[in-house]
Amino acid sequence: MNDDETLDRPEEVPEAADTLTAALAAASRHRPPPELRQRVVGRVIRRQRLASVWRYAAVAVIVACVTGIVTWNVAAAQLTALRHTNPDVAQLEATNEVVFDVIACKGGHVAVLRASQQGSVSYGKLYTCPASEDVVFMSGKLSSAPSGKSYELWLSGGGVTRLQGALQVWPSLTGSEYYFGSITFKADHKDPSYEGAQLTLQPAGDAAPDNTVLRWNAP
Amino acid sequence: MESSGRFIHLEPPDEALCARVAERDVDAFEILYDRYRDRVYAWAAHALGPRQAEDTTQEVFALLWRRAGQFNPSRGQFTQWFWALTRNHILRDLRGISRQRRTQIADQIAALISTAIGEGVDVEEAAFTKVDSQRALDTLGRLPPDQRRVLVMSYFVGLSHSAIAEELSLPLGTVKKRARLGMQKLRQALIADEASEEPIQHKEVRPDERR
Repeated sequence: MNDDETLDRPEEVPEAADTLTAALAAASRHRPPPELRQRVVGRVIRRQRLASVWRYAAVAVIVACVTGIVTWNVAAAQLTALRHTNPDVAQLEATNEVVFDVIACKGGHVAVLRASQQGSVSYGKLYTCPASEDVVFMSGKLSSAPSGKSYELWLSGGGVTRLQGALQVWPSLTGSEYYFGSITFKADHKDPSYEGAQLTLQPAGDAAPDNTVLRWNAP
Repeated sequence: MESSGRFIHLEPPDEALCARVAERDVDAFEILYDRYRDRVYAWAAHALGPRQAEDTTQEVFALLWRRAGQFNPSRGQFTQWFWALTRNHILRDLRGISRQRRTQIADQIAALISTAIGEGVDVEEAAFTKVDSQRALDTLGRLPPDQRRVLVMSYFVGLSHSAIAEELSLPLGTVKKRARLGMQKLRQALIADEASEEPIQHKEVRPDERR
């Protein structure tokens, strides 16, 4: 101990602190109430229990995270394998990306196709994007296509109506009896525009639209 | 240290108990609480008032529980670390109290200790506590009152030497001299006590009673 530095500071001399506090306690009439002991000890016991709970919680979270990561990695690995063995999966993913790009496109247009027949709840939407050649058509609440017929999208422009393609159709995922269909394709140029659109239910190979289910005409 | 199938076991030192507290040993914590509760409480009661003393005592021991792992025996004794912890906490609570009020508190403490030095200890507690307390009073009793007063003002309520000089209307050099002389005498007294101290009381316990 360096006398020059510490001899005038009792807090830095341990024996001094011990002596001063013992002297004060001896001189004082103040004594801690007996129940204080229970409160102080009870507090640390509660803290210890809480720490244990947190420790268990932390372990549980870590286990859950590890399980989640492992599950995610397994799922990702399975998806990668599926992409290699089934080209449709990769195609579907690519299509989803195109759909998202077009419908979320800034300044995009949407034409709403309405049912031609009274009582039908079917509808469709044709999306175009100023910055892209990609076009998306989606249609919901479609009835089941009879055997030998399919839903076809016909587009009109420059006085000509031509077949754009047949929709891919799936049973509704909402549990209803309806079907959902979509088609994506590339136009000749960016920001394509059309004079009209029809969704038909007809046999493949027809030269003209027939049995129109949904229709839209440019204003 | 084996003797007739029994071990001679010393009362566990503070440092060992603190290490056990760091390992979350509640029994060790209770022993430390019993050893130091009266001193912490008395200090808090005189400095902050009896109403605040219970909360402060709880908080000091909660700090001991939380920070026991920070105590490093290679850097000093447990008491040095523990009293620094306690002092920091009490001085923090005293921060909003004026210098004049703190001087009054210190003067009350100094007067109380002076009275006790004159009258001796009359505490109905365990023998070792009585011995400790009497020894502390005897040691402080060897200091002149003006030097003792400076130590009390500095230690218990955290007044700086400059503040003490202003409060007592004394030159700063005089206060520093009193503090230094007081500490020198205190150290000498403690060294003399240590040399004449009786051997530490041993407690015999059977091996199965050891922790």
